[in-house]
Amino acid sequence: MTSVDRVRVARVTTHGEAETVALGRRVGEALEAGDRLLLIGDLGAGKTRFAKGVALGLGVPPERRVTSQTFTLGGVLPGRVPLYHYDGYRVSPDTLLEWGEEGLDDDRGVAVVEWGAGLRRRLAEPVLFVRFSFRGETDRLIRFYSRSSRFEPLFARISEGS
Amino acid sequence: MRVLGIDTSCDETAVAIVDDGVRIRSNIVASQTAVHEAFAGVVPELASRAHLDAFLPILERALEEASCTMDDVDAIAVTNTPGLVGALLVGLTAAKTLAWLHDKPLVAVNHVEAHLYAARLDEDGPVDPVVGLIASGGHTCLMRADGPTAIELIGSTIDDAAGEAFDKAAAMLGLGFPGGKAIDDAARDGDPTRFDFPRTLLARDSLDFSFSGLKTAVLYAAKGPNARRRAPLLADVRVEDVAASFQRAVVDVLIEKLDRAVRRERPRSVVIGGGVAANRELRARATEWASGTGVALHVPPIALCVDNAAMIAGLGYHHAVAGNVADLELDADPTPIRR
Repeated sequence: MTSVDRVRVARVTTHGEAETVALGRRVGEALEAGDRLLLIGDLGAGKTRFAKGVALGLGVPPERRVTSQTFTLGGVLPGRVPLYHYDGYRVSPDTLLEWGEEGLDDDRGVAVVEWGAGLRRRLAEPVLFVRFSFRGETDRLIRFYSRSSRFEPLFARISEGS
Repeated sequence: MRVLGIDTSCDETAVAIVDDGVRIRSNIVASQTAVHEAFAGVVPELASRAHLDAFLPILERALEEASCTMDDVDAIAVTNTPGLVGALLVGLTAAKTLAWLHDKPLVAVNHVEAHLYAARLDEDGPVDPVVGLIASGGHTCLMRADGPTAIELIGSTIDDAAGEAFDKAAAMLGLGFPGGKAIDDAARDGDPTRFDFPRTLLARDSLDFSFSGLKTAVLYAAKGPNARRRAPLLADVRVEDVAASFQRAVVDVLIEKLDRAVRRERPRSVVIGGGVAANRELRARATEWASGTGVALHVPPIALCVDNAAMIAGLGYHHAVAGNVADLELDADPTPIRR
């Protein structure tokens, strides 16, 4: 069971897209069905690249593209567990919840949501927040937060790798 | 053969009636662009309900404009991929219900392949083999066709779609929505050489696209390093110059990839479709490029470049004739296009 207590935090700076993908992959390897990730950050900050890494870590075949879901609002990719990839850039949180019901309400896969800050208080735990900030043209500061003990091993893994 | 086409793969609810894959009897699209515009690209209620509410009145209008009833329809074609499953299901369920109720064959159509087909709705359409560039808000890809249904994907975006890049650049520049038109308009008064934005071409022989890096470059040029999206423009930056330089970069990449595809595939005709085909610089540059290469260029009218169901009915006709008929178990396939 997941206990909810203190907030866990980790931070990593990546230098270029390849490192952002690699970090996402390390995170993806430690994810399980039912995990929900909210990726928060500006245009071009690396959210979709990170999602690509998560997909690789979940065993989604590398030839399957992880593209922006801004237009389609979401899609599902086949991994060791299904990866539900959503994007709330152009819709309200209510619409995103309605359309993303399959991946956000059920525990049959991992859900990764870009532009989902509006869902902050509306998703059941375990939720992992990943915040992306620019540190120059190619460097990105990537911060992880969670209230769920479920991600304890993941935080250890992130800190080890950095 | 008269085909009723249905498309609900994204925001638009569309129904059309087309005879023999070419003669458009009616082509009705309920667009939510007005809603998008009012909310600057953020749609408060973009739900399957919107499609549900729109569907029956649009079906009635499509039949009325075509002066026919369901009895006169020979087959029903519907988009079942790609798109958002909730959206696709509305059209799919409607199509299955109509097929069952009126005992008509049901045909499944791929939305992106249908964009390529749009050029064939013209009697003087492209001659095979065709190389097609489809660029819209949701898709950017290159295809080779050796017939209406013999289609091979030869390149596609690895991150953002071209139309999405337009929308996001417009949002960063405060130009409003839809971004394609806003950038196109602003670019007319801008200097396209003012900013040297990256043209991501990937490997030398690659027919894939990448527009993700362009976002960061535009943000930096317009608002300075580490700026936030909503930050004000730098004092000495003209938004028109950024728009023109951005548009030049996107069009350069689209034309270069099209040129590579044509050199590799040696087609007789080239088609450009999807919503980005409405862009004036792309149209002008493509026309100029085509006259240089001697290949026949076909760009459908804008109403057939954007999402519509005439293209679904048109391609559906060829599937029906070829016997590619689906049963009532037909399911939505939300997965992105793949090779």
